[in-house]
Amino acid sequence: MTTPLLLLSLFACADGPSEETLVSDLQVIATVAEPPEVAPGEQVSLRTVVADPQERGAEVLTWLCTPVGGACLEASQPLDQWVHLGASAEDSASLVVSPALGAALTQTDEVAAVAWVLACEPGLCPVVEEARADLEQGVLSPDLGAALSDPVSWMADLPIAGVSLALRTVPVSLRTAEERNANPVLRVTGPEGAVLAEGLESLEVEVEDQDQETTVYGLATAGGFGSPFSAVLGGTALLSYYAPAETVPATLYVVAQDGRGGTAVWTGEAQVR
Amino acid sequence: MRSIRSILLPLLLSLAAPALAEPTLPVLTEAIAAPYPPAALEAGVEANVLLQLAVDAQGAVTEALVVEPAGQGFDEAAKAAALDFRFQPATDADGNPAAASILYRYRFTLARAPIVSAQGLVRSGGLPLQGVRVDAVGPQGQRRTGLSDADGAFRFADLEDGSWRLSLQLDGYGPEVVSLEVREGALQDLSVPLYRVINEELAADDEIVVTAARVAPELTERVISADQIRYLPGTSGDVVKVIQNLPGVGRAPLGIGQLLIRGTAPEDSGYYLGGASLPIVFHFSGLSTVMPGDLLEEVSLLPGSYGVRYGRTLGGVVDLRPKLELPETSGAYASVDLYQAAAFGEYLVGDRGAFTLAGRRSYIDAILNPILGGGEATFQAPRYWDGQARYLVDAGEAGTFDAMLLASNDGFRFVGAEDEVALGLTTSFQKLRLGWTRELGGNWLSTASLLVGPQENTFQIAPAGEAWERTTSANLREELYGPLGPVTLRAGLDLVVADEGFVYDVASFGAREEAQARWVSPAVYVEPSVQLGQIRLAPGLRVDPLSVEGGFRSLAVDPRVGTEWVVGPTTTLKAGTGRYSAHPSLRQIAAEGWDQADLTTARSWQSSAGVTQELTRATSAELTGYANRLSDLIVGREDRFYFFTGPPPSGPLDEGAYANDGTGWAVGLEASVRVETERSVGWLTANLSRSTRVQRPGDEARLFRYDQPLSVTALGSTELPRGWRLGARVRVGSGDPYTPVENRILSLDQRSYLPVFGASDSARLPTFFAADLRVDREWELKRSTLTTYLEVQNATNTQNPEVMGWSFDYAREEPVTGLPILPVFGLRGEI
Repeated sequence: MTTPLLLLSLFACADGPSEETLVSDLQVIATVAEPPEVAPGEQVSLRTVVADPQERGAEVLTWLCTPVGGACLEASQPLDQWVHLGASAEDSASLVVSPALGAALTQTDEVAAVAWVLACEPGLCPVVEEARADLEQGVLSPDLGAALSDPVSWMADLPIAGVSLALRTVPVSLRTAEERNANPVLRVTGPEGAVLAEGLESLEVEVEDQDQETTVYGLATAGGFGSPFSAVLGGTALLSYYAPAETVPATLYVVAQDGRGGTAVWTGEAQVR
Repeated sequence: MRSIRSILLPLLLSLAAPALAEPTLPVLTEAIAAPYPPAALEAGVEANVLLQLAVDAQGAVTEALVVEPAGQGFDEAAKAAALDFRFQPATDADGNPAAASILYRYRFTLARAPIVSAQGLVRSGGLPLQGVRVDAVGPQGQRRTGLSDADGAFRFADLEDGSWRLSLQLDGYGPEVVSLEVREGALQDLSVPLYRVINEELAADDEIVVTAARVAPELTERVISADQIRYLPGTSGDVVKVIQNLPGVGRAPLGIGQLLIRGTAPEDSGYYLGGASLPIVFHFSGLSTVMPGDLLEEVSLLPGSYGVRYGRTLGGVVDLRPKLELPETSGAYASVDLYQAAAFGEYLVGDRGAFTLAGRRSYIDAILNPILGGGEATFQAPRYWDGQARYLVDAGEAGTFDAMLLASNDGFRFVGAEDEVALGLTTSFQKLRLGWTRELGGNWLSTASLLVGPQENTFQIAPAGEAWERTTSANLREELYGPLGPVTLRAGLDLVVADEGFVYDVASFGAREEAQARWVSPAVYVEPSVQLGQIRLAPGLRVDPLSVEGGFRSLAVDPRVGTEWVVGPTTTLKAGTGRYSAHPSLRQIAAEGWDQADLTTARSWQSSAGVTQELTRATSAELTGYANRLSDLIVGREDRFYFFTGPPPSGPLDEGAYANDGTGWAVGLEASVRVETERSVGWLTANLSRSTRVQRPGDEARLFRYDQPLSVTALGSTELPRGWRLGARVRVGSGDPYTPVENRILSLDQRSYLPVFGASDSARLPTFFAADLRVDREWELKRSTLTTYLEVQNATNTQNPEVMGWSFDYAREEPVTGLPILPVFGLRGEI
């Protein structure tokens, strides 16, 4: 009986908000790369949106690291060209993709640089303190170099609460600007002002994307969306937001991703009454 | 107790018969001397026992009733002896042999009390055997006959000097012949082991002829007869699931049918049907075995240190031994329970053959699919079926032949809106088994079997890909067993020829893999065993080469030795040690490049020692310690697609190339007490074990994923008056190890979390507890029997975490618990 029961549970569904859409602790929501596809040695702007529902504050450490032989390929550059420390819900970092990635490319190839984002409550993450010290001095210490090339090695020592580590890839190619992928453009018509407790609100999502293969993801710091993701059909999607029973402020996030690195994010506020 | 009328009526009829047409009464032609009860002999007590004997038309005693008991052991001794009497049959008015009843008074007098000049003990597996017939032939051809008593003892008085040959025979055991020299009346003391046989039957000349294979006299062999299994609680009467309750067998997670034997993985143990390797033994999730227990004589578990007839395994062996005895009558049954229906029919063909037809199908899908259907996509619940057809022929001196077709098919599907299979899994096999067992003369026995046919696993997931494994194999075995000078020799061939192929092409599991090759593995083995006084020593050697098309070669040479020492009337010590090897799989060889593959056999060196002690006539105890050193284990490529029957592994995967890099230890202690009476059977087992692995050289040793330091099982079933039977099972055991998740990383590309694991298998699930109850009620109807049962699994509704799971973001542990309380109702009608 075990297998059938397990399988049945996989395909069961129920009304109400999906647990996966509720953000109850510090969490990286999305990192938008501009441009979303770069050439070797090119600068990329990484804008990270962080949710902080507990409002304890967050430091955001962003770095590019394509690991090769136990070190980051980008480590040959000046430290502030591949590591950035910020402290806001929407932090932007301008970093440079390693020019050494060009050696692995031909005109048709594409490789990926890896962007890491660590959002951390102040004082919880030693690697943030190490990065702060090294950035102030402008010199990469061996400890920080090793830590940034292998985040898994220290993540096991950090608490789950108050820490959010995320990664995304940044496609690297020799394509011309016209041939490159572009970020989608996202417009959301959502609940304006107050929403009723336990009420159901609809968010109309419009997406402009050259591939037209975009998926949108809904997230909220209170309540939740009916489904963790929805496919965009004909440039639009409809998301269902379930307000919580409590009268609290809620931050809603909609993230659009085209599967090739193109990302757009929308943030909205709602007061549940 | 029969009424006096029912006793006297046949007697009066038989006495009245001569006056009508001069028929004749049975005439005693061969009397068996009953052993004098030792206590009565010592006390100088004499006695008479009046028996009523039913003698059939062949002159055999079919029933012996004590009409006038004498007590003090006389009744049992007289009755046992009388059942072996031979008569010239009674005749009816036409002079034809006819059945009849007579009264017979058996006299025990001190004048007949023997002056013992030879005595001995007969045992099997260290336990005494009662009722063994001992035929003694003297130097001038003089004949004497005796029977062993409840202590397994037999005695002969006043044997003439010279060489005597003693033949020992008992139903279900192989005949044994021993010689002894009698000199001037000096007492000769013997100890004779008898080994079980699957079947033996009386031939027309009243000689016992072995018609089936003798089962290996393994050192640690735990056998359960198929008849006992039907009523045991918590197993739904399934033949192989009962094995999970025996010493040396761990508890499988989620109640599935995996066998975890002595700290080894399920895939390390082998399953056999009469010695030939079976591809699978369980339908999905271990609901039931792929063939009905009614086709089996017994199920044997060999947890370790077994002989050379089994190979290509690192762990234990489970051998399903087919029933090779013709049924007494034709019969059939049908049964239904919560999830399956089964039918079984057995028909006598003349007096030498029997045809059996059986089948079973689950109907979970029939119930669930209509409920689940109607949407855009349909989940089709798992379903399975199996079927068997068998013809068994007793060809007299030519031996016993049996031919069996058996097939099994399991599957489930998730069907999309366009009727395409979105997700599907099937596993199936079709096999033909041929068996031929014959006596060659000189007390040599030949057992041959062939198991041939295809087997297949398939997996589909749209649009990500497909995977399948197909193998057509033939397993030919021939074994010779018999005396050769002072030794008893076992020698055999275990040949496997296979055409095997696979495709693994599932997008999320990396690059497509594909291979097709023929391979052959012609293993030979020899095991001479010698009896040195009270000690039996059985060294053996198994040589098992593998040759794969494409150039890969592998060779296993496995020496093993076992010994058994009968220390006293109720105590036997056993010990064994030896090497066991398993060849690399075709996939492992193909992945590393055919003839370049630097892979060799994985090995284990198993050692064990134990003691068997009879506590009372109905109670025995066993204590066994073992150590299993594993080396050259093939590890790597854990990130690839695999067909598996259990929960997927947790923890970081070894993605390196396949290599013989793994090592490990499994050590443990097994204790059991077993009680078996006419009405009840039960046992208490406790396993203490520790199993560790080192994945790659330089890695730290970690707990094996199925390590279970402690498991205790108490199980019992007893027959009550008026057709009732009651059973219960209680299990307590350590939870399995698992790898904890310490943190997580959010992949923004995939919008999913990746776990950051802690040390491998460094955490353990909570202690497991479950109690199961079973009650059966049987109604005897005119020509049929109706049985119903209610089995309540997990009667205490304990929520046992069985497999660790996590929330979608790895922030919380969310263990998968076993079944809640589950009542299963079953019905069986038999004619």
